[in-house]
Amino acid sequence: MSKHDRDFWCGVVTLIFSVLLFIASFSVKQFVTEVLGPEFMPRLVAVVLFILSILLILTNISARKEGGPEYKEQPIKTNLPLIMTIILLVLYALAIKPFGYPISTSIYLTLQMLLLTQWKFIKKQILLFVLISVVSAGTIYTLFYKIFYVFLPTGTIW
Amino acid sequence: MLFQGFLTIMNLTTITIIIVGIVVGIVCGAIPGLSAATAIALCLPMTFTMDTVDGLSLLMALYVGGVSGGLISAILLKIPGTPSSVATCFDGHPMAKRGEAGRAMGIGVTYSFIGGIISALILASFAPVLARFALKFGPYEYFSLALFSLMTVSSLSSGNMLKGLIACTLGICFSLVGMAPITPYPRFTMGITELSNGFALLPVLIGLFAVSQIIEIAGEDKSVISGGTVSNYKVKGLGFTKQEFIQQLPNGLRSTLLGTAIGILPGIGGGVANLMAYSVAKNSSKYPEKFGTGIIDGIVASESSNNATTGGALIPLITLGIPGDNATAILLAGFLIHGITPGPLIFKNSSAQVYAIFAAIIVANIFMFIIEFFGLKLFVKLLTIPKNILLPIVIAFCAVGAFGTNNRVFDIMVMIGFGVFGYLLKRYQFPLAPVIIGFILAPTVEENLRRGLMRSEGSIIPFLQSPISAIFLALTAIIIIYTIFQQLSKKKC
Repeated sequence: MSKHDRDFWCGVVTLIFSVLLFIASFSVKQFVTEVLGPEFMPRLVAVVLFILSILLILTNISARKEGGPEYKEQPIKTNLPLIMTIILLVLYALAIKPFGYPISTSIYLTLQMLLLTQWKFIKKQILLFVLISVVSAGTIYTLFYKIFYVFLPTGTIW
Repeated sequence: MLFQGFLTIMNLTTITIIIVGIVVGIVCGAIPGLSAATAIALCLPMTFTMDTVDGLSLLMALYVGGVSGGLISAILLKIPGTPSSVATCFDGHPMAKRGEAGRAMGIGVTYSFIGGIISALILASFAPVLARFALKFGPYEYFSLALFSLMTVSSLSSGNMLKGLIACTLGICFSLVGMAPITPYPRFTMGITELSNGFALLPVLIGLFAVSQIIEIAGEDKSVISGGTVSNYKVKGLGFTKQEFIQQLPNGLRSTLLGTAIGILPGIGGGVANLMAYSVAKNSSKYPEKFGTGIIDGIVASESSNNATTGGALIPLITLGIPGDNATAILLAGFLIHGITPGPLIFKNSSAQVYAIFAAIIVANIFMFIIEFFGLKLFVKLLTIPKNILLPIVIAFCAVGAFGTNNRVFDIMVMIGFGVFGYLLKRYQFPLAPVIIGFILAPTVEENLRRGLMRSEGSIIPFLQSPISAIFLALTAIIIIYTIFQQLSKKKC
C-alpha cells in the first residue's frame, strides 16, 4: 500500500468518526436556553473533523491521479510480538486489582522481556529476566509504598 | 524575590532531590528512546506526597537533565538520545571518531550549561512581566491565544499540516468526555462513573508517549533492540582551551537566544531549535564547508540552543498555562497535582513557590554541568542497557503513575487504551504533540468561546475588536497561510 492509499484510508476512518460524533452530540441535553450549550463544541469539532477528513481524502485522490512520485513506503509490520504486547498490556491492567501490583508486575515484566528478545537468546536469559522482573517489581512497590506513600493494589483474591 | 527563592531551596532535602532529578534526567536523556518527558512521567508519582517546592524542583531537574543528557549518546553512539540532540551528532560523532570525544563532550556540556542558565535567567525576569500583562486577558483574548497555540502546534510540529490538524482535533474530541464547562452536563461518559470527570491528564500523556513506544518497539526487528557500541573517549580538563571558549561565545549566545525564542513558541521546542541554530551557525560561519566534519561550532550551536528551550518553553507554561511540547505538558500536570494553577494569577497566588522553582532551575543547571561532566563514565555504562529490559520496567513505573493519579485501576486501562491509540497514530504518521495540546487546551477554548459569546450576545465582532485578541487571530491566520504556502512550494519542488 502506498503512502497516498494509507492516508486516503486514514481520511475515511476519521470521516466516519466525525459523522458518529455529530450524531452522538444529539445525546447531549440542554437544561437552559443559552447562546451556546454543551452540545455546541462536539458539533463544531465534528464539522471541523469532517472538513479536514474530506480534504485529506481529496488531496490523496488527486495525488494518486497525478501519478507523481508515488513512492512506496516500507510495509508496516503487524507481527506476533506486537499483538501479543497489546494483549499482555491489557491483561496486566486487568490483573493488577485481583492479583496485586507486585505479582502482576513481576509476571508482566518477565513475559514482556521475553517478547522483546530474540528467540536464540531466550533460553540463556530466561532466569535473568525472571530475577530482574521480581527484583524490579519488588523494589518499585517498596519504594512507592514505604518512601512515597503511594498505596498500590495488593490484590483482592487473597 | 529570586533571592528568597534560593533561600527556600537551600536545604539538604531539596538539593538532594535536585541532584537525584538531574542524574535520572541525564540517564533518560542519554538513553535513545527515552526522553525528558519520559523522565518526568516516570518520577511524577514520586512527587505526589512531597512538599510542593520539593516535588516541582524534582520535575524541573528532570527536565533540565533530560534535555541535556541527549548529547552523550549523540556524540558517543551517533544516536541522538532525544530529538533535541540531532544536530549534535553532525559534528559530535566525527569528532569522537577522530578520538576527540572528550573535547566534544566538554564543549557540549559547557555550552549546555550556558544555554540553560541564560534562558533560566530570561525566564525569571520575563515571566512576571508577561504574567502582569496577561492579567488584562478576558475570554476573547484567552480564546484567541489558545486557538493560536493549537494552530502553531498543529502546523509546525509535523511535516503535514492536515494530519497535524486532524491529530489536534482528535485530541479535542477526547477532552469532550466528562463534564462540560460553564453548564456542567456530562458528555459521552457512556454511563461509566469514572469518566464523569473526563480522562485524567497523566494516564493520557503516559499512554500516548511511553506505552505507544513499547508497542512500537515490539513490532521492530528484534536484532536492533539492544544497547549500542560506545566510542572510546578521554577527557582532559574541560576538553577545550580558553581561546576556543571565547571564540565560541558569540555563536553560543546567538544560539541561546534563538533557542529561548523558539522555546516560547508552542509546538516547536528543542527538536527544531538545535537544527535551526546549527543551520544559522553554519550560514554565518567563515568556514561553512567544515560543518559536519567535526568542528566544535556545530556542537556549541546545537547544545546551547536545545538547553535554552527549557527556559523559553516554561514562559508560556507558567504565565499562560499553555504547554508547548510533551515535556511541558507533563510539567503542567505536575503543577496542577501540586495545587499550582499556571496562568496570569500564578505570581499573585503562589509567588513564593514560583520563585523557588526558578531558583531550582538555575541550581539544576549548575548541578547538570558538574554531574554530567564528572559522572560521564557512569552514564556511558547505562547506554549499553538493552531496551528489551529497560522499556518493560518503564511501563511498570508508568502503571504506578497512572494508578497514583486517582488511586484507581481504571486509569491504568485508560493509559493502555491511549497507548494503543498513540501507536496507531505514529504508525499512520500522525504527530502526537497536537493530540496532547488539543486535549489540554480544548477546555480553555470552549470555556472562553462560550463565555465570550455569552457576553457579546452571540456576536463574534468583539473577538476582532480587542487588540490583543485580534493580534493572536491575525498571527493564527499568518501561520495557516505560511504553512499552506510552504507545503505547496514543497510539492512543486
